[in-house]
Parts: sequence; structure tokens; C-alpha cells
Amino acid sequence: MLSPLVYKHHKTQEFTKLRIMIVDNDETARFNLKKNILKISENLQFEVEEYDYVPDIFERLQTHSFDCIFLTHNPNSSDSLNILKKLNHPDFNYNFCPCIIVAETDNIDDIVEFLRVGAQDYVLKKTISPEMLKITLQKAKEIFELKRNWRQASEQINNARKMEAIGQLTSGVAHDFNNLLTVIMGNVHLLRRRVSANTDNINPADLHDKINAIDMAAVKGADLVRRLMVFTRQSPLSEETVNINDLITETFELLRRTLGEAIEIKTILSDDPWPVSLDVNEFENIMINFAINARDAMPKGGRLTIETDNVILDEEYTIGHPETSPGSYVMIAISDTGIGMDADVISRIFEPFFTTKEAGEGTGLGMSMAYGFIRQCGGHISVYSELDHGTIFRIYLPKLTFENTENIDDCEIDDNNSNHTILIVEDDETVRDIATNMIQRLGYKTLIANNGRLALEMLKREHKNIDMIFTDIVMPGGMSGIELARQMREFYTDIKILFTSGYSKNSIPDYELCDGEHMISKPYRKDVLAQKIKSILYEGSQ
Amino acid sequence: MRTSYVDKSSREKLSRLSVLVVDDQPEIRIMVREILGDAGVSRVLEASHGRDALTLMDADFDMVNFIICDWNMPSMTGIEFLRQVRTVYADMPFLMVTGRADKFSVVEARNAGVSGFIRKPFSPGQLEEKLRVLMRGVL
Repeated sequence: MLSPLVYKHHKTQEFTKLRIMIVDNDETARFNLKKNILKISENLQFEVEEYDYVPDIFERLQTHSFDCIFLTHNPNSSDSLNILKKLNHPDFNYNFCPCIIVAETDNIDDIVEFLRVGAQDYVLKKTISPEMLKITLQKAKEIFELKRNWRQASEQINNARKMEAIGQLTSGVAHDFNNLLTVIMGNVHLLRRRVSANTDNINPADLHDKINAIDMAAVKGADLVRRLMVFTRQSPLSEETVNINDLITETFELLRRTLGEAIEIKTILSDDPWPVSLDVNEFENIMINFAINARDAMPKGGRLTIETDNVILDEEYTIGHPETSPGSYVMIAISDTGIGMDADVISRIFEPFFTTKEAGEGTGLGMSMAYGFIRQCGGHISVYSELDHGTIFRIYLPKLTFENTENIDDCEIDDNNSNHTILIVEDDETVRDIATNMIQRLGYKTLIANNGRLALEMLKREHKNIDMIFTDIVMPGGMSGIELARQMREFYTDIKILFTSGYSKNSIPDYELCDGEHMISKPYRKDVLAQKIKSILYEGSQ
Repeated sequence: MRTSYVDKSSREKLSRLSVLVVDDQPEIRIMVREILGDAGVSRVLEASHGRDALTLMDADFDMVNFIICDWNMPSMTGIEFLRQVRTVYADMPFLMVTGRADKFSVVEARNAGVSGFIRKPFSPGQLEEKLRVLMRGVL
């Protein structure tokens, strides 16, 4: 039996006046629907607003609350479906209310599509009567309230989980820092006593030990901060272009020592993996973290398999994995034959300070660091595990697209480009070749220097022909890109500068870019570089 | 001779203490040992976790008359160790070193028979004060 048709207002106040929005481009149809609504009995009052297919309805919905929307569907137009999609899009912010489709025909495919996109119900225009509308409104209300309760419940659960994770993070950081502070504070007090008491009795070795203890605690604290920064993706990464197979081969010995003899390591490496850009040290750290976890999951021994492959994630995959975007990736799969994990552990495995190990044995930071690192590389990680059978982690790192052949036609190559010369300053041969190739393909003339000093010499000779220098910031050999730019500006004020770095714009060590200084982070896409060079070359000329 | 920050009578009493320090972090054990030595405690024993500590105490019943123990340790937590200790040594002063101060933890430790708490990070003076207060029960 249906309950009385009383809507609860969003602020829990019960009221009997319903605000209805009718959206239909046919004035007569709107009039008929309104007439039928106004005939519904049960002591209800209605306030009906009518709209054509115009953007006005979105604006109106964002400023006023409605209790129900009747949206007419014309089989020859997709307008109503688009409106419905927008109403159900998470970015469209309005006081959510049920939407009922008023249809000309009862095409089953349309019905399914509308319900899938978020319609509450579906009525046929020709069968509309006050009684039928009353039942429809009633049903819509009940389903809507169920949905709203469900939404609220899921939000509460999410918030609770977030709070739990923050609590865990806080107490983990607090615990580790308390230990370090205990050592620092205790030793500082002891030192103060020693030096302020009787200077004749000072034992240098004793003081030395205490200073060392303080120093060690401070270093540990700094390391803890570093690991947290990797998790929060604020750590400056020194990215390099690498072949993942080489890296895994280099790490093999380290992994073998970490795992011990009871665990066999097997590698299945792709023949020709695409290049990726990452911080080699951090990558080694996370591989060791995976190895340690695998070892602990296989107390009686077993096998760790590392596999690499080039994969293309299509849209279908990314729908099921909303944190990913379609594209080409290098996949690294790390699997063990260990005890596996249950669903609860899997769902929390990347939370900082979450650990299944005994107190004091694991930091609970290994997996969260891996997660942060991979996200910072623009990749993602998935985990699959079955109890008593093992676990497989799949890391997807984006293929480095210096040579973005897929996009080559998208880049606008201006004939004027050939009038400009760019001096490329880069110490890494591979990166330099790739950058040179990319810039030449954009039509520019190029000059090359592999360090700052050579660049200055080249500027001395060729400055009249050079329009821009494109320089790496961090280069060995005593002259950074910043220093090069500083010296260059003293003599050649009209030459433009574009910096590049593995660091992000806001994390260059010991330097902050000023207004008017430009930078592009590695790895960069060709179209982004093209746009950047152009905007700098023509800066101020328009 | 170390400088004493503890009055003479307390120092005499402290010299009769035989303190077992249980902490998985060696740097903290070393530091606590130093503080105790400065305060006049003549005998300090160390264990890196609860099981080691129990073995040590089993070996010689009278070897220890005061325990300073960390809460958060691998394989056996401070509170588990405390419960084991209380089955044999009902009155031995047991000072729990902890970073936790939530009500639940405090009640849990009280119920298990803890004698006192000291919160990390602590200064030597605070630890000495705790020693003075808790040793009254034994000496």
C-alpha cells in the first residue's frame, strides 16, 4: 500500500505544497500535463513551473529547489537524454530531485536508456491522468528517498573511513616522531647537564656519543618526512628516461638478497619495453618494499615473478578503473605464491601506516609510498589477491611520449618556425636527442650543447642567430640551467629562455621561478612543448 | 663521578634499584640507561622485547625490582608483558612508557596493574621524578 503523498522537505520540515518543473518544448503538452497535475487531489497544492528546452532550467535548478521534474522525451531528439545526463552528472550541483520522463512512445530501448542514465520513472504522454500522476509521484518519492538515504549512508561510510585513515596516519606519525623526540630531548638534557656541571669532568667520547644519537634521530626523522612526502606526492623526483627491463635486471641482485634462498625469483621481461620516466632510486625502494611484503607472505618459501609488458588501456578498462586514463603504459606485474590477503586488507593496503605486521615490525609506509610514487609518475597500481594462493600487483607506468607519433598531426607546424633557432642545453644524451628530434620536427632550427659552459661559448659565437635557449635546470659540471640563464641575461637580453626539469614547477631545489620565467616539466608532450615554445617566442610581440 | 640531580636520600634509595628497561629501540634503551645511571641507579638491565625480558626474569627471581617498559613493541606489546609480569610479581613497580594517552589505553593498563605512565617524549628530570614516586612502594 502506498503511503500518503507527503514530501519531506530537505530540511525535514513536512509540507504539502509541491514544486514541479515541466520541461517540454510543446506548449499544449505542457498545458495538459499541468492541468492533470493540478487535478491531483489529496489536499495537495502544486506550484508548477514550465520550461522550454533552454539552459534556463539549469540555472533555475541551481537557485531553486523542486520536488519533481517532468521531462518530455521526443523520439526524434536527444535533448531530453542530454538534460538528464547533466542533471545526474556529479559536477552539476543542485538540490537533487526525482526526474520523470514523459514519452511519446513506449520504445523499450529508450526506457532502458533513460532509467540507466538516472530517470526515476517513465510515463506515456497519452495515458496521463491525475490518478496515474499521483501514483507516479508517489512511487518517485519513495524511490527517491531510498536513493537519498543510500547516498547519505555511503557518504557517511566514506567520511568515517577517511577519518579512520587520517587517525591512523596521525597516530603513526606521532608514534614515530615521539620516539625520535624522546632520543633527541633526552640526550640534549643529558648533554646540558654534562656541560653545565663540572667542566673538568667532561668526557669527550661521552659527549660525542650523545651528539651522534641526536644526529641519528634527526636523520631518521628526515627520512620519515621524505617517505611521507613520497606518499603525498610532494617529493621532488629526479626523473630519468629508463628501460624498465634494465632497471629490473639491475635490481635483481638486491631483490635476491632481500628475499633469501627459500624464494625463487623469476623474470618474464617484454622484448622491447617502451621507455618510461621515473626516479630510479625511488623505484628501487618500492621494488624492495614489494619484495619484503612478498617474503613475509611466503614464510615457507615460494616464487616471486616479475613480468613486464607494453599494454594499451582502452576506454573500457578505464571505465572500470576510474583513476586511470586511456593510453599506452608499461606494465610491471609482481606476483607471489604466498598467503594472500582478504578483501578488507586489500581495500586498505595503500593507506599510510596500515600494516598487518606486528607492532614495530613494519612502518606501514611501504605500500603507501609505492602508491604515491606511481601516481606521481602518472601511473597507477592495481592489486589482486586470493587467500592461500598469492597476490599480484600490477603497476602501470605511462609510456614516455617524447616521440608522440600519435599526436604528430595534431601539432600545428608553422612555416615561420624555420626562422627561429633554439639552443638545446641538456646533459643526458638520450633526453637531448629526443628533445632535439622533437624540436626539429616542429620546424625549428636547433643547436646543441651538453653543458652550461659549452652553451655560453656557443652563445658568444652564435647569439645573433639564437632566439631561445631550452635548458635543463639540474646539470652536473658546476653550472645549472639557472646559472646559465643568469650569465646569459647579462649579455644577451633579447634571447628567450625555457627551462625544463624532472622537478615540478614548485619543487625545484633552492630556486623559485620568477614571473616571466617559463618552465616545462619532464616528460613533456610534443604538442605541449610546441605551444609553450610558440607562446614564449611571441611573448610581448602582440 | 656523574653530577647528581637527585637528593642524597633519594639517591641512596635509587642505588638499591635494579631496573629492567624493555624497549625495542636500542637508542632509547641507551638513553634511559644513561639517565638512570646519572640518577644513581646502580644496576640497569636491558631487553629488546617482552619475551627476552621474561626469560631474563625467569632466570633470576630477584634480579629485577623495577621495570620501565615501552608500550608499542613487536611480538609482545608492553601491556601483554605487564600481564605476564603481574602473574608472578604482583607489586613490582611497572612504569609504562607510551605515546598514547587515550582514556581506553590508560584504563586498559590500569586494569592490567600498571604502576605509572610516562609519556614520550620525556626529559631525564621527568623520568627521575617517576622513579622517585614509584620506588616508594618497594624500598
